Amino acid sequence: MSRPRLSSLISRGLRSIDRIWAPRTAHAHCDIPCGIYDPHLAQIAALSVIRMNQLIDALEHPSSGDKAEHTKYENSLSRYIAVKEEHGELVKREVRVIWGDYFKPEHLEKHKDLHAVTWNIMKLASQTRQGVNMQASQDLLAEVHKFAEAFWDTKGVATKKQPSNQAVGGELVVPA
Amino acid sequence: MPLRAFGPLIDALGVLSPVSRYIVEGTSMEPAYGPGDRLLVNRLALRVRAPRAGDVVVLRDPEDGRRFLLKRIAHAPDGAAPVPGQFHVLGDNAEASTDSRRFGPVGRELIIGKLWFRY
Repeated sequence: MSRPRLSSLISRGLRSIDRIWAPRTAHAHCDIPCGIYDPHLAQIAALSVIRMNQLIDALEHPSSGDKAEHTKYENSLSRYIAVKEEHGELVKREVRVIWGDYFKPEHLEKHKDLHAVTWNIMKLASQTRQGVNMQASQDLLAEVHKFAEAFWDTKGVATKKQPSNQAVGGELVVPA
Repeated sequence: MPLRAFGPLIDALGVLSPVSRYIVEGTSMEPAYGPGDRLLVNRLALRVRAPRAGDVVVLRDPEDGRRFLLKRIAHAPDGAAPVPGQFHVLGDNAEASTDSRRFGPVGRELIIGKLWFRY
């Protein structure tokens, strides 16, 4: 019997065994602690908070008593606030995970202000939720940029700032 | 009588078998082996000679004894003295692999067998 026919015979034989007696699973797997961290999402979330503040600011209060106009206004405002809440919290979560799970004691030697920057991010993100606070949202983005620069530096990766290329404007810290 | 009634007996016989079948889940051994690949593992080969760097092996997960892992035997990391009976395992797809970089070297007794072929 030629090689290919023998191996396909063996293959078919083994696969029929598999149908009645399942093979065990060999995990070539990465568990959750997989080591994939990236501050990109935290930056996007911070930009989203700024964007919501821009949209809220641009919303015109209806001048007439028209019910449909008011409903439309309330709906838009509510949605912008909901998204601002969600993304303010997302910044906190993303930064908390990288701060708590990724950074190691040796990183602090070079990045002495890491804990202070992280704390500022938590405080500022809360402020952006508590009110409609454009300044806080801009300051939040600035602190998240510092956090991202420190992160990439610990990986030996140089970074640059580039325009977000989104309607919100602003910048992103990315690997150079 | 349904086949599954023989389950415990079949598992006991499996221990005696010179070969075992595994199906791959996960991507830590890509591109060589990927999800859905069916592998026949030789349980005797590594009794004849010790595992060597480059061997693809199935081993018990040192962090969860009920799971089996598919990894490749690697040299000890630079500077580390090799310890007899202890083996470093790495996934080919380093970025997506939980392996000896995380759980350290594994004892010989955790290694079930050497990959023979894919079917």
